This record gives sequence, C-alpha cells and structure tokens, in this order.
Amino acid sequence: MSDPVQTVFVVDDDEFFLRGIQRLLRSSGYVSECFSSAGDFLARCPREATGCVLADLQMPQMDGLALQAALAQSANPLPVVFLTGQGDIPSSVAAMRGGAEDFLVKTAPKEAVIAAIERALARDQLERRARMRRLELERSCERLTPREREVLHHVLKGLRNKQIAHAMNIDERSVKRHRTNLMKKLGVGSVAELIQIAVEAGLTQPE
Amino acid sequence: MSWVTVCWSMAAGVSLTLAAVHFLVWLRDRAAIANLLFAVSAVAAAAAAMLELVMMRAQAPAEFGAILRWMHVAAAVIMITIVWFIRHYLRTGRLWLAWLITGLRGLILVLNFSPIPNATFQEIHALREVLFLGETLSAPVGETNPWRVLIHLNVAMVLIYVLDAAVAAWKLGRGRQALVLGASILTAFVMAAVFSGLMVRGILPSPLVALVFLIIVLAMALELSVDLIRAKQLSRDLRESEERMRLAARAADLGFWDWDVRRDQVWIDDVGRERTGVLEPGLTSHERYLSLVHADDRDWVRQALEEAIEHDKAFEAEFRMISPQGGERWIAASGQVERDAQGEPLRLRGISMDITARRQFERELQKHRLALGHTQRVFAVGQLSAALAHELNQPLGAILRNAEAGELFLRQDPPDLGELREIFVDIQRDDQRAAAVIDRMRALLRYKELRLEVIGLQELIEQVATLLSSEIQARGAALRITVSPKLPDVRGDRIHLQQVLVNLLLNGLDALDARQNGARQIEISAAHVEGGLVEVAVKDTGVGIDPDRLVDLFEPFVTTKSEGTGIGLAISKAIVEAHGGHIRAENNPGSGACIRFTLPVACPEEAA
Repeated sequence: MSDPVQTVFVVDDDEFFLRGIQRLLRSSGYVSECFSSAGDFLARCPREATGCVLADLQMPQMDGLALQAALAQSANPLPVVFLTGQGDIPSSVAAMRGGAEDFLVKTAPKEAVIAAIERALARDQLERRARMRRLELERSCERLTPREREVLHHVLKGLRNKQIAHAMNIDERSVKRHRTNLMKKLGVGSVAELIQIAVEAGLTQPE
Repeated sequence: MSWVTVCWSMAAGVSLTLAAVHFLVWLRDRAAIANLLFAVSAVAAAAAAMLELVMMRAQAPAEFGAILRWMHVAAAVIMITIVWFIRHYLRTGRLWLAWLITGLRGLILVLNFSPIPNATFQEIHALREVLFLGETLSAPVGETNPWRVLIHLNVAMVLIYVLDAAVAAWKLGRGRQALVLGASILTAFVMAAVFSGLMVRGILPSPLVALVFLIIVLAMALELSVDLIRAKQLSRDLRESEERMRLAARAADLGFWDWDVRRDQVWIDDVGRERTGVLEPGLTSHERYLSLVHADDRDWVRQALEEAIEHDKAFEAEFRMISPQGGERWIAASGQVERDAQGEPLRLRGISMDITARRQFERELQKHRLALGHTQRVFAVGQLSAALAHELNQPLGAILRNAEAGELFLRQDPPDLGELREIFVDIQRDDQRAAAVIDRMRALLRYKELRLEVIGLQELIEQVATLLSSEIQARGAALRITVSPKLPDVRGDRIHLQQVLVNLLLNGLDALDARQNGARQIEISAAHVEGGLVEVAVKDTGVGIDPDRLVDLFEPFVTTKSEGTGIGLAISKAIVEAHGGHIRAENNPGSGACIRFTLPVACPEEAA
C-alpha cells in the first residue's frame, strides 16, 4: 500500500517565523505548507491531506487549542505539534490532554522539532491505516446479509456451529454455509484472521 | 450615802473614760485632731467636776474662792477646745471668731489670776448653807466681779459661733451633726448661765458645771463614735470594693505595681508577678526589676520612668521581660506619679499586662503582610517576564530556524546561495525585531512622565523611614539618617524618588538578613556634591555585593538574592536617570554595600 506524500502544515501568525520554519523543513526534506491563521488552514486544507500540523499556541481569533479541537472533530484528524513563544503549564496540559503529539517552545533545537514531526507523521500513518481498514471493514460488513451478520456475531462470541444453530434455531449446515459466505465476503481465510480484523474494526464489543 | 459625791464622781469618771478612748484614737491616727480636742475637753470636764465637788463642801470663803478660780481654768479649756473641735469636726465656724473667743477667754483667765479671788466674785463675804439633793452644802455670798460681763460676752460669742457653724453645716448637708452638737452646746450654755446666776445669788452651791459639761461631752462623744462606726463600715466597703477590683483585674489579666520612689521598693501583686513570671515574692528594688527587663529595652524603660517622674508625664511602655527560666514575655505597663504637698515624687503606681500573645499575633500578621507584598511583586514581575519571553521568543525562534536551515543549505552541493542570502536578511531583521522588543520593555520601565516638584531630602527620607519603620523594627535593624545642614532642595517626582529609597532600603534589609550576625545598621545620608548635584547614599552593614555582579547589578532581571525579582534596582536606575542623575553601587571597606545616586538641585544658582 503506497501512501501519498505527507505534508507538514505550519500554522502561525508570525510571518517571519513561518519563513524560517519553512526553510528548515524544506532543507530537511519535508513538504510543507504555511498558513497564517487557524481559520485559513481549516478552510484551505485538502480533505484527504496526510501529514501533521505544526501550530502556534497563541494566535489572534482562533488559537492553537481551538484549532486542535476543531481538527479532532473533523473527518481527517491530523496529529498536532505545538510550537509556542512561551509555554505555561495550564495550556501545555490542555494541549497534551487534547492529544497533541508534542509541545515545544519556538527556540527548541532543530532536533527536537524534527523528532516531534517524525513522530507525528508516523502516528498519522498508523492512524490513517487503522481508519482505512475500519472503513473497508465497514463497507464489507454492509455487504453481509442479516443472517450472515448474526452468525458473525455468534462466531466472534466464540460459539461453535452447533451452538449457533441452536441459538438461531436453524440447522447446522445453514450455519456452515453462512460462515463460508461471510468469510469470503470479508476476504479472510481463517477464524483467527476474522477475529483479528474484527478487533481492528472494533466489532468485538457486545451489541 | 451622798448623791452629790456619786453623781459628780460618775460624771468625772465617764468624762475620763471617753477622754482615754479618744486619746488612744488620736495616738493611732495623728491626723484625728478632733479626737484629741475632745479628749482634752473631756479631761477638763472631769477636772471641773472634781473641783466642783470639793468646792461645794468648802468651809471658808477664801477656800471657795480659790477653788472657783481653778474651775475657771477648766472651763476656759473646755470652752476653747469646743470652739476648735467644732472647727475641726464640722469644718465650719468663722476662724476670726474662734480666735477672738480664744483670746478673750485667755484675757478672762489673766483677770482670774489677778489679786481678785476669781473672775466671778470680787469678794466672797461668807458662805451660807443650802440644802441640795438632801445634803447641806456651801453657797457663796459676796460682790460679783464687774469683769464678769466679759464672761457673759464670751459665752454669747460662743453661742453665736456655734449657731453659725451649725447652720453652715446644716446647709452643707451635715444636718445630724449640726443638730446634735449645736442643740447640746446651746442647751448646756444656757443652763450654765442660769446655774451661774443662781449660784451668784447664793441659791445654788455651784454652777453645776459637772452636769452642764457632761451634756456637751456626751454629745461630742456620740458624734465621734458615730464616726468610728462609720469608719468601720467604710473599711468593710473598701475591702469589698478592693475585692471587686481584684476580680476585675484578674479577669482582665491586669497586674498592679507600686514603686515607692523614696524607699526604692517595688511591690507587685500576684497577678503581675505571675504574668511577668519573673519576680520573687515580696518587695524588690527598682534596679532589680529593671535587671529583668530585656537588655535592648532596659535603657529606654529606665529613661521613660525617669521622664515620668521628672516631667510629671504618664508612664507608658511596652517592653520585654526575661524570666530566669529563659522565656521572654512582652509586658505593657502604664502608671502615674503621685507627689506630696511639696511636689516631690512619692510613688509611681500603675498596672501591667501580659501582651505576649498579642505581640506574637502582630508579628505573624506583619510577616504575612511582607510575604504578600513580595508575592505581589514577584507576581507582577512574573507576568512581565512571561510577556517579555513570549515577545522575544518569536524573533529568536525565527532566527534559530533560519540558522538551522542555513546550515543545512550549506551542506548541499552546490549550496543554494540565493536562499542563504535571504536567510541572512531574515536573520538580521529578526534580530532587529528582538532588539525592538527589549526597547519597548525598557520604555515601559523608563517612567517618562514625571511630576516634578521641589523636594527637601530630609523630609523625603523621613517619609520613607516612617513608611518602613515597622519593617525596619521587625527585622531588628537600626536606621540612621544624616542629611547635611543647609542641603539644597532637589527637583523630582516625590512618589518615584520614594520608590527608589524604598527599593534601596528593602535591599539593604535583605542584605542584613543574609548576614547571620554582626551589626544591623542602615544609614541614609544626603550631601551636596560638585556639579550642582545632591548625592544620596544608602549604606548597610549586610553581606555586600559579589564584585563580579557590581557591573550588571542594575540590569533588569539580574538578582543576587534567591527570592529576588531582579527588577528593583533596574527600576531605581531608570527613575534616577529620568531625573538626570546617576546611580552606582560599591562595597564598603568594612562590611556591607553602599548604593549612591545623584539628583540635580532645584535651583543651581542658589546652591552655588
């Protein structure tokens, strides 16, 4: 599976800092895009964008924490690294609680900034993959018939064919047929594989 | 049995007994002149009674005349003592009349002892027998003395005197005394006059003075014994009121003390001893008491006591006392000097109270107030420095990013020189941006708006000393102010210059605290220096300043103290320079540091 190019989205109201960081990112081999306000970023950022956000904490109108909250609500929750002029404890705690990848002062050394970006990009990839799988699985699940879905539910609970037949009040051969069909539709070859994707897709919780 | 002998002896006996009682009263209390006068008149009454008893049985006219002569002496004593008794007892009666009566009676006595037999008779021809109380007694027959009219005059004067005194006493609200004494004396004298007339006519053997005087003596005795009873009642009341006072004092935790200045004895009651917790029972001396006062307070307590005595001021002091067990207690004492009639100090009497708890509470409060003040200062500076850091980190961050990027660009082959040039341009501009932030911050601290006025430094320094006096005292420091005479005034902003002095004084106090021992002194001095300037120096005996720090001491956020904010001296410098002066720091040759600053004088021509 080949990923699209990851972009570092920098959001800062300080024009000169934007220029500096963009140069650094470029010379370090990153693709970056700059926005001078959170509103601008939310409006112009492509929906399918991959990568991470490097945001200032204090900005006029919408500040870093509000941007983070808005991103978390969106369909494409990119990881956020905060860069701030002067960090205080309450806002750093709020940022980390909100799921920020890191919280750095603007004068932090390049290595710290790059490392935080790397972690954020890796996390984006991981989370994105999980999201994709969940999406695929959801789509596959949609193709299952109601009977097949019911059988799947019992299989995930660990019931054997006989028990499933008894619970559903059908004969055991019908159960086996449903199982074969649903595994084919979901593209898995074994029960172990089925349980693994079910865990990934978050299907194992009891209804 | 002779009734005359019995009655007259009894009258004499009663008089003598009463005389003895009141003489004893006078012996115990020498101020009780009335009792002494009464005792004398009662003795005279007893003597008169006995003389009369003998006289009535005289066998010859000459014998009768001689005894009557001595009776006049007794009568004169009674008369005079009654007059002065009334004056002392009722505290009324006209003084001139009293002296006139006394003088006239003296004159009568002189005539009494001149060749004539006595003041009553010029000559007694014979004695004739009269029957009195079933007994045959002698009565005189003879020529009365023409001077006898003086006796009548004298009696009349006494009557007037007594009447006048009784009325005056009545008006003063002492009705009972006036009535008893006035009525009895008047009755007695009227009777005496009647009896005397009857004797002169040979009807009575004597003027019956024993009876007459007994009435007066009994009346006087009655009055005096009422006084004795009242004195007893008073002493009981006094004891009760004393008890109430003691209870109230104990409830209020008040101790009483009394310093007998002449005998140098200090008496302290139980509460006082308990509270000071330091004194052995019984009396002690002034010096012994002072020796228990804390060494730092002793001199001024001694001085306050001396001043109270010399200038008749109330004594009031709060001082520490050291108990032999080693504890320290705060005592508040106040007292008043009592003087004798000549104005010489007799004693210093007063109360004392243990205020250790109150003092501790005050100290705690002071400490909290100081801590709060410091917190506020730290907080304000904390906000300022947070704002400063944020403002500065923007350009600094940009510079860093550009420099890092530049380094990476340089590694490329070939390096992108155009990019690098742009980077350098950006770095320069960001650097200027950072400098601008610092300039803006300094402008905030620069106090450009000064409200200039002409200020006397003596006054300014004293205001600041007053402002910080409790803090100076709480830290156990001594402040000395030396302003040279005829120092010219300066032109400046009072509030801001006060701020400078407060900052420097607080720094000085901190420097004292940082030093464990040694003298704790701060001196503020002001003197005229060259160039139309006044130099103010704040000198402490504290830890001094690390020589390496002397250079950047006045820069913002430079501090030598663990809890310092590093802004006090920077602000002071900004203020002094805004006034056109200079500030500098140096270490003293001995110990501690000295901060000096100059200010231009208000009228240079005048100063020069």
